[in-house]
Amino acid sequence: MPLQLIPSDWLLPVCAILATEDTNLIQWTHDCRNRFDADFLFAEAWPYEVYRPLLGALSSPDASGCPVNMDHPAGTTWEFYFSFKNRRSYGKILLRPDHQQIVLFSAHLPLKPKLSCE
Amino acid sequence: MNTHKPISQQPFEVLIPTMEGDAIAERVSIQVPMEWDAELEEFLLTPEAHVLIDDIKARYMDLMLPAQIKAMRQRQKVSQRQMSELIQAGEKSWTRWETGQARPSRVINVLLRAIEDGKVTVDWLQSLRNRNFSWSKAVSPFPQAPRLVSFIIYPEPSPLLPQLEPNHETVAAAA
Repeated sequence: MPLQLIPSDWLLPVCAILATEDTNLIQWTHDCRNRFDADFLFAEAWPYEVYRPLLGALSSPDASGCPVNMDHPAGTTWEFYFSFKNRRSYGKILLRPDHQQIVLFSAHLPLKPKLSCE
Repeated sequence: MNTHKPISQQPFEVLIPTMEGDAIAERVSIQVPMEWDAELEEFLLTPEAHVLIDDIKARYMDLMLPAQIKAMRQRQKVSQRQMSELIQAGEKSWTRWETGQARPSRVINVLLRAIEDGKVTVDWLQSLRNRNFSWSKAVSPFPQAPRLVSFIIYPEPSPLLPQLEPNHETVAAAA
């Protein structure tokens, strides 16, 4: 199954929130920050540096990924690839139902060779 | 938007990279405020947690902290704009370093430390700006070209060069 085009009603609010670079609106899970720091240690990466690459990937006209079905959190989650520090990286973001906040579940090097819907 | 979630101090391990960035030099365990999201069943980092983690990382990497950068500039009695012009960085970059929105690179940090320690002064940075070095003038061929050409077409044999006896090639060419 090929990657799916990410719908604009998810992309637009997510990109708008990413553009703010505001950690009140962009929430990181404990695990996400942990793995981000470990995977990009070589590049001395700081969390704020990842927002623009995420934004770049999600604002491209053919932004694609896989919808992630989760039981608990209300909202919509997509996983996708993006480029960070010249590495193919894996992103997974939840857009909360009020479209005012996002949760970064993942921003690290891929653990699997393919996304869930590939 | 603000659903009140319980905030508690939770352990977090800050990874400090080696100078080469190829390994972990040190692991520093700290407590940072996180909120428990019952729906996600996950701890979420508060904005303060990010600042704490980044400050610890910066301190162990010997990077100047936002408050130190601001205090250093104020001691030099220059504005953010003036300082960014002096070190030839964007004004936004300087502002972001002072507010902790961004961290200086190790290379920039060396310069900041040099200013902090008085090894590089504002006067010296200003003189650097005032040199007004123009590469277009420096590489212009016109002032030097006549001298260069006159050397190449020097009509007499240079006394510094040994006079060579004609060999079979030069004789053949002359014929």
